[in-house]
Amino acid sequence: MSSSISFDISSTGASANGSKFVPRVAKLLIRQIAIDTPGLLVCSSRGVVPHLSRDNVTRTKGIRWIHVPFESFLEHKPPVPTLQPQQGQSPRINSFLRFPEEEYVLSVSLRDPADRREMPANTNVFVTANCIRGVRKVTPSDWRSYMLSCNPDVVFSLSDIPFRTPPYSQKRLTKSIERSALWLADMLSTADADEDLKSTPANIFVQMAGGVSVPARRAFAESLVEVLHGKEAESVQPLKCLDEGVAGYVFDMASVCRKEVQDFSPNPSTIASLFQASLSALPPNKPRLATSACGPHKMLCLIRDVGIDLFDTYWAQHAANIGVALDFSFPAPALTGKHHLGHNLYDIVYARDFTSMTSNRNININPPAVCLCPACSPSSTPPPNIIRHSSVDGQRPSVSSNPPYTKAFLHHLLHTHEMSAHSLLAMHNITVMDAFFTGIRDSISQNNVSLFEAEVQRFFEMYREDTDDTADDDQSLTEPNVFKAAEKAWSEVDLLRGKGRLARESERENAESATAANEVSKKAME
Amino acid sequence: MEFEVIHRCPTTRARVSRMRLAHGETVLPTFMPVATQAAIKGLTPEQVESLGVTLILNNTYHLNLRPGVDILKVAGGAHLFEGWRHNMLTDSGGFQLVSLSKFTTITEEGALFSSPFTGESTILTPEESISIQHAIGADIIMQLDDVVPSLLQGPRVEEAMERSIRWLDRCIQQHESSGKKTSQNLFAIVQGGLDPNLRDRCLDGMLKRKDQVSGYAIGGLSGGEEKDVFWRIIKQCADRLPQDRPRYAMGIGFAEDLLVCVALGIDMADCVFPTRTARFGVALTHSGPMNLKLGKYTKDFDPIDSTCPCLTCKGGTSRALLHHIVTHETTAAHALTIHNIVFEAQVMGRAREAIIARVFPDYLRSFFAGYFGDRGYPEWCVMALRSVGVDLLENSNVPLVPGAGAKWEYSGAIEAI
Repeated sequence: MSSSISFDISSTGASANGSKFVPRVAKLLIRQIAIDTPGLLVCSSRGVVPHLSRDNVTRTKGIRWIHVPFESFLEHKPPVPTLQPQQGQSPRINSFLRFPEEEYVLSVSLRDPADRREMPANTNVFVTANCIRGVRKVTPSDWRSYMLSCNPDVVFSLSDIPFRTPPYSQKRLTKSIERSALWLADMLSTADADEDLKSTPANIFVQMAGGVSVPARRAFAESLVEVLHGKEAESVQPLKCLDEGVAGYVFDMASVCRKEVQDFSPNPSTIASLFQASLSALPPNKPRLATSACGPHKMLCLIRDVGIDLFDTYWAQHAANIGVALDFSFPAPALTGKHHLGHNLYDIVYARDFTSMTSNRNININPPAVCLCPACSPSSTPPPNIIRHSSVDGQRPSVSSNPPYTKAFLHHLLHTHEMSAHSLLAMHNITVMDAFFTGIRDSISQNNVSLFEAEVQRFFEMYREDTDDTADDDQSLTEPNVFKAAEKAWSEVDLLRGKGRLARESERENAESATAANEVSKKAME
Repeated sequence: MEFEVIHRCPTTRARVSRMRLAHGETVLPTFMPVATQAAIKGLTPEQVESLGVTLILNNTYHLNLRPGVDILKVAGGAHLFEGWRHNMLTDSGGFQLVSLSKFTTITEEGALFSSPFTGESTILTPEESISIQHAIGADIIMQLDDVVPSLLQGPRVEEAMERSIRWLDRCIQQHESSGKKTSQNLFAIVQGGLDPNLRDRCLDGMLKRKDQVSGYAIGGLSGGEEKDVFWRIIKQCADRLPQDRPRYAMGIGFAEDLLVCVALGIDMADCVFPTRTARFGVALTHSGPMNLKLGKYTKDFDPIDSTCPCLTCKGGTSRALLHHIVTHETTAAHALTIHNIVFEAQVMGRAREAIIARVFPDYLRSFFAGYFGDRGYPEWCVMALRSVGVDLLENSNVPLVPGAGAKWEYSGAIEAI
């Protein structure tokens, strides 16, 4: 339980008004690993970063912190990572997942923060989680013992986030915040009868409960700082209140951006008021982490209006899944016109585009922006690291840097359903996000809040928000959205794959052109 | 191409050679992983290079459909298109025409088939195949051959063999007149089915054209024939092929097949097996295939093979973690593809090392003991290796297994297929 954490805020969007909700730059030090904020953590699935083999994780320099949803391990009881033999001082979860503890911070939550599917209801004594063998019930004491055993750097305490169709009753909201506080107290408890479980898991981040209700969020936050008495106080001693045992705050975007919420329309300002309500009673010096924030626009708003410090790259990794290469930067380059945030590489326009994933727009910028990801700036393995299989294996020339992978090549890989496409895209997109946050930190570090706000405004004017989850109905009226088009193309290629796919493809194309021809002739007849 | 035999096994027909091509040197014998659609499944060229692989295969049939010759020409060839800096071999497309296309008809002019795109009938002639391979730009290109199913018998096999010789002439003609001779090397493919007489006649014809070809492949095998017939055909061809040309056995990928072929004098082989089986969750090891989908690996915290130099094993990824992700996450396929490619490279690399050290027969014995010792040696391997002076059963009481004898891990038990 030695994993230390410190959080030093070096500059804020600097206001005389002393507001808690300003953009800020900080250094989060977990053990000896420094995470600069605003910054990123990378999502994983079943314990791995999707599409990235271990060496490609290493090649992607922006990956320092990986978030691990634990629920897939509930297929076995006890979960397999808890059985990992202890290797030196390494946390079991790092040993099991093979993310060396001197290089990677691991955080663990029970559920996948991006998973919005409906789940059977939680109760006072268990949370429901999902694994491929079905729904599993996890009690707060299960969770505590799993996390004590796995010992990740950061643990998300259990929260009662309702995963049923909203709206929720007042009663349900009250229950939700009460349970979340209770389960946090369980996690912090030092009064366990079992000697082995007397310690508490290292750094606990709490998911801020209260859904889309400002009063509920405020009430939850207040329950964290409320001084405890009697039995409650005993169980968490020497802590005076729950918040003293909390290392950071988590804001779940997936549950507030649900479209079904009737009396809440999620937009930057309503979301900011919710999160501000969560934070107003709490001390400002702890890291604030948002999960599943969809895209740079939302992230910039959360940084500007709430002072969020950390974001997972769910959105960028999803873009890699559907064949979108991100292409944007902060501060926005000096270009004219409105631009998409990325390229749908399925699009036929890229079939003969032999430029790198970021080189179309930036060509006029001086000096031209070069993406440092392993897809845009690939470099050969140094000869000593190349495996030699016999003593006569030839010495290879040491080529240090290679030409970038082209959009045409990625277009080809996507249409032939080659996995390498998604590996290259995932490395690229995570690197674009990393550079985006570096740009944000540089801008905030100028200690001039209006300068940062002006850059945010310029970014909004230059880039079109492509995945507006909340109010996208009117977008269908304008030109097709890159992300939606990519998603469609991705699912089509996926559907057609396998033997005989070319025939199926041409069949579909014929059918489409026939439909189009019919439309034309119909119009002509009218 | 520069081709030089640098070591010979004093017992068997195995040899170590250096092959210098336009994109560097490859030491033989070697196994070539297959990048069907311009990528080794799931890996980047930097990764493949880091595994110590210097020669990969691309499929002409597939690249001709996607991205198509036009795009490859603009890109400056497949090497530049896919970012592969080392050597490459392309097949002629003939094999896929037969295996993937429903309506292929072979005429003297070429292979007539309906385009999978338009349904229109299209013809792939030997000249066209070579000119497509010129556009792809591989260091080694293959003649278009008339491929018939391995198990076919009768006059069609003879006709296909004769035609393959005539098509070789047309391929040579096309290649000679192209001006690509310095950067690309044409290999002939010996056909003739499972009939030793036809194979001999094909060898007669093709050996006459030795000055116009850089190497020889043995085709028409690995199609479900008896293993006992398979090795005899390989031996017959390898024995007659010239010493100063590389010899390539097409479609060979099982470890025991590779080592038998090397002992019989084969220098190169390719197969989708190691990369395909990786996607199905199977890791190849020196003690046999390991099916990581099986429940017995759930709590197994050892790496696949703690002595393996691949990134998966060296990084310590456990069988338990692989079991958790196989068939769910693409990275499981990546991890096993990396491992399996390194396994094949190790099998061949150790063969080179043993040949150089003049202990190749010992290597064969120790490999087979490790791989099959628990279950029995495939009879055909014992026979094949006896034919080149190595007796696996010498000082050994391992039983013989008739049939193919290949090893597979289907369930809890290791079984023979």
